[in-house]
Amino acid sequence: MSVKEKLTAIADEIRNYGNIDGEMNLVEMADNVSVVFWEGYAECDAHHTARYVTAFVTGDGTNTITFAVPFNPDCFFVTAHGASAVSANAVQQMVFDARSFARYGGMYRIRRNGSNTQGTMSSATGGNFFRWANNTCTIECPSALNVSYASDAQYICTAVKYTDKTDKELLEEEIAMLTNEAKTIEFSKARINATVTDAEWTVMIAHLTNVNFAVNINT
Amino acid sequence: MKTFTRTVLIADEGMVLTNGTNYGTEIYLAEGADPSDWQEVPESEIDNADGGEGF
Repeated sequence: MSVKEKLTAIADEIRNYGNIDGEMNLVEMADNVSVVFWEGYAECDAHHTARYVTAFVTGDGTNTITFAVPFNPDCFFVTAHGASAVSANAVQQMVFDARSFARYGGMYRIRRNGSNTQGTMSSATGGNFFRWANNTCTIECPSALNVSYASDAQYICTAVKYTDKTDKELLEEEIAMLTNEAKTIEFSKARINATVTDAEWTVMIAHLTNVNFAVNINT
Repeated sequence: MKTFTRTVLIADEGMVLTNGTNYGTEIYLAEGADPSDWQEVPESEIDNADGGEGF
């Protein structure tokens, strides 16, 4: 692969993730890397957690773990804690080997402290190893990988459902839940600025006559 | 219909307003609230309010 082909491949990725058309020179490519980053940031920012449930699951030596979730989640996170009796390498291989979670999951990370191992992974639902049915989530490592959930490891499983509500709708809901008792409520000024105009904010809090609002541009 | 106009205190650059418990760069006061309950302090005082820099 020539240098030009490599640069074109990078540019293709920037165009793809940044939804950008046309050729870019090196300076434009560098500039648009931040566009790609913020594109992803905006996507995350546009999704707010509507519901979540966390379960503590002990592995049973099989290639699946299950936990109750009363809604069809959009994504999930799993953190594994290896017992000290299990070597770090064993937990890593069984739970976070690149052939299992890392291959199909969104990301994974390992922290080691002596013989204890902690690993975290997350993924959107609908992957090869994640199912939801009958109010139960099942996370399955493909049997071909010969990977099991260790019976002496604890798995903290969190399933998350996103909401389609806008930032403004969420702020309105939050304000609507406040009572008009005398108190001071702190809000992020940055959040308010990004969500409503000054006039809208004034109207939004107008009925809370007994409430001080301390808004901070630094939070 | 009863209406009231909020008084808004705005901290100077590098300063924040506090009533001893809450902090903000802008304070939208409740009806009848006393502006003198809020004092302007340097932002650096907030940074040290939780025990200072960690190591």
